[in-house]
Amino acid sequence: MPSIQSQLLSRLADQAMKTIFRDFNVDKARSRLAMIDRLNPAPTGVQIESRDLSSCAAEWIRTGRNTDRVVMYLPGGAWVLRSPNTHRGIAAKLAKAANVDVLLVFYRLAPEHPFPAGLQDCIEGYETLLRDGVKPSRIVIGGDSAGGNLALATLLALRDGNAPLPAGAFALSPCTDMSLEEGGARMAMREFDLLISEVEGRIDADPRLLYTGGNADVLDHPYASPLRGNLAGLCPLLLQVGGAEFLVDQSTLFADKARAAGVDAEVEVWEGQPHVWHVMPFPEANQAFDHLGDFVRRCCP
Amino acid sequence: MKNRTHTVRETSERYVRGLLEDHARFSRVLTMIGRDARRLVDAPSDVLPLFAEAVDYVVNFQNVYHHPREEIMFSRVGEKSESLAAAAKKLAQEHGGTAYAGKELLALIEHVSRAPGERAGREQLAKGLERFARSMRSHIAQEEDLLYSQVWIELTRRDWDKLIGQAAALDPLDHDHSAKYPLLVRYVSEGRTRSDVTTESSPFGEALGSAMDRIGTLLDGLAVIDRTMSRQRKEACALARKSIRAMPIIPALQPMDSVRAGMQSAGEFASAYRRWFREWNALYSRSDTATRRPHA
Ligand SMILES: [Fe+2]
Ligand SMILES: [Fe+2]
Repeated sequence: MPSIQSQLLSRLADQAMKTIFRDFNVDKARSRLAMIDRLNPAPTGVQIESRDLSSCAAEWIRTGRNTDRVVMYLPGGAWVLRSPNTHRGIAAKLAKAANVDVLLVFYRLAPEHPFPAGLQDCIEGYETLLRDGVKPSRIVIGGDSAGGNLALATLLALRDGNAPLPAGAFALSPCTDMSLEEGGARMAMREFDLLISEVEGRIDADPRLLYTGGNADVLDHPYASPLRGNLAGLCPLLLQVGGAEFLVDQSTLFADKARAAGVDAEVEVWEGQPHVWHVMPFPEANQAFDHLGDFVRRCCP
Repeated sequence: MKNRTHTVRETSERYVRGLLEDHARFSRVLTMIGRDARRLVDAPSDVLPLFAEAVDYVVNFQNVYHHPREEIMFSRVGEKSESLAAAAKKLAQEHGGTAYAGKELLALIEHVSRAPGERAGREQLAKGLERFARSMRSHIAQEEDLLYSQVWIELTRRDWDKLIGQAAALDPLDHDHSAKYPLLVRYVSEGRTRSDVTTESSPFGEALGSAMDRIGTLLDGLAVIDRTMSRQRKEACALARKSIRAMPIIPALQPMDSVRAGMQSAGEFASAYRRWFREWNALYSRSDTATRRPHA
């Protein structure tokens, strides 16, 4: 049974998501999100240092604790939105729970910078860590929602490029499949998928098409829909997904497929939780961060 | 000198690495508690044997092997560094608390396995496990932050040689745990693809849950009504526009103006349309041109 806080607010969060996606408009969504983000205070107890990459901004979120573990975190926002304070908050909680320094990579957003610009920035973020002397065995990468999609896509790209993989990766409420192929996550939940039911095929209102620059063929590419890729040879994975969100199958199918390919992959389905409940003031959010901390400690002893 | 420092660092890293690897193994058990402690309440037979092994492992392995290795290191650090002495003392003291809490949990597990029908005991066990996990996480985080990362600066090669000698003598555990902890070894080595995580419930929470479900259903219903109404409004507008275009010019039809004005907004239009339709209908039913009704 979810906590009282979760029961009170997750319905509202769910309705808010539906409202945003029912009539999606990038400009309106950005200005609404900016308003919400301003209400979010910057996290306390951490130092924020800017560490710009060649094409995008990035920030170190540090607790000041002694650690050589690093999490590269990719914020979510349907590939087109950004809420920096909300994600600084996630990074701060993660830094405390896992005793890590977090590199928050603000990859370029669509539609101004369509696929694969954002993915290239994520890969550059990882390469920058390696160039700065961080060992891959001390790095875990992760992200939420679209950031979770990018974390998984980054892993596939690193593996394909024979780059050293990080020690582990996690994805919170990720989108793993944007295509509509048989056996895919979106087919499995056709009737609940907001994009299918509301804005399917509308280039100005479907974040998937905004992300891929209107190119529907790209949706099947494993770097856009990691579930469609070969998942063999990836590092240990942890996915966390809310039991009440429409992306739940995207995680469970991904974990099943990764496990079948011999990857140490686990998915936690959190009863009654909405999309990326980690940002909500729920006890379940703290518990989820505890589990992420355990996971990072397990990947990087 | 540089070489010597390097060796000290390497030696200390080897020692500390062993402790960190213990923490990594404990972390797996802590996550298991977070995922499954609630299942002890509702389906104890599924997970009780696994928890019995896990708690026994964490408590005994820590008491017999992990804590002694830490304590000899902490006491040496406490002697050599004033700034770390307080943290070293506090963390060593916490080991006593962990051992006590662990023994209590083992006794509770024993009690629950003898009286599996007693829900209160199972609730108490689940809460106790969650408390245990919380305090262990905070203990581990402080050790890693305050001491593990600092000890190599404070201790000399001679200190480390001594520590390693003492720690080797302390290792009584047979490292093949598969015989003693078969369920736990399987859980840790194989993992589980999917875990359904539930959290604590209370009668108030359950009542609230069902109320929120009803509110949710209501909100969903309202959303459907809203969408249906907006679709019908659009259809009504389209029909009205078509009708207006097809309508013969009848001088008596004064309400047309109010319809045109109402077109400015769909909301106003809906009522204007209804009003106009009533008036127009009344007018037509009196007129001998009734057969030319556009909506017929
Ligand atoms: Fe300890
Ligand atoms: Fe410890």
